[in-house]
Amino acid sequence: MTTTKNKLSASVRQAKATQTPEPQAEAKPPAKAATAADTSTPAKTKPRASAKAGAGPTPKQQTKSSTAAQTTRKKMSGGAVPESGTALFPDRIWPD
Amino acid sequence: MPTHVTAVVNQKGGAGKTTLAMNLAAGLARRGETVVVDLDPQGSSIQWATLGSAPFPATVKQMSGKWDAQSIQKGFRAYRYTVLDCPPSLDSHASLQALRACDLALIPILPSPVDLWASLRLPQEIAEARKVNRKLRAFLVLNQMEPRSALSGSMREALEEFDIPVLEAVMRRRAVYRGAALDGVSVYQLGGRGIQAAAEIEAVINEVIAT
Repeated sequence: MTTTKNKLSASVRQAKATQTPEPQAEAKPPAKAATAADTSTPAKTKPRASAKAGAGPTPKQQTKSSTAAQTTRKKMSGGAVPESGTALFPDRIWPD
Repeated sequence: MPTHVTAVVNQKGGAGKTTLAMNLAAGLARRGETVVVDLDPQGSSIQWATLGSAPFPATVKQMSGKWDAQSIQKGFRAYRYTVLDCPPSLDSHASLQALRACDLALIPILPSPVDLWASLRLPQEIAEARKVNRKLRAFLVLNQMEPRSALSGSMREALEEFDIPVLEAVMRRRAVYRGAALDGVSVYQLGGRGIQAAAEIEAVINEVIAT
């Protein structure tokens, strides 16, 4: 009975803490930190480091990242104009 | 004399709002003219009242067109008691206006962690409503209580986190409440079968309405 009481009260406190929005003053620093991390840490170096260590991403992740890279390249190759490519449903089809 | 308005609210569905509203109205109808206003689009109160072979002791109505808190207070002043059966959402126009119009908000809550978690926004909403409706009193009503269950026994302590007082009177888990809905009557009309349930509703009324 006491265990149930404690568990139930603790679960309510936890749910309350989760549902209560954090004060803005506390919420700001992590956002800043995240921005700083984004600009200062080169994202490209991360996969290389893990590949060297032999703990590379799973095949699914590799496919995703390579597809994303191709998409980026495709978008960049034509300057501001994206190429239609060979995709079945390209975002936009350009007339010849 | 203005009508005494009781809103039965909870954002969680299946907490027993309609069961409490209808039986409460039946109990109040023994004291004076009572109307239930079905604010839930599901129309469960209307359905309940139309099912019975015997007439339901309280009038059951729905709101139509544009209405607000004042419409409720003015529109039902001929009745001594008005019971508002609210929809399972605190964001709806109906619930907001009901909390602004009422003298008393009763919040049925089940002895279940999921129901507790889902109802955590209630104190905030009650506090918001009090900014407009200063006379508002709010109480949690334990519903479907099982005396031998550890979870039911733990509810009062867990509800201290809500900052809303809990009524001493509770509604136990009884088939007769569901049976009354099926027959389109209140537990008061079920004779011996409904005696204990009716006593529970009377205890709620005596604790916060007929004092």
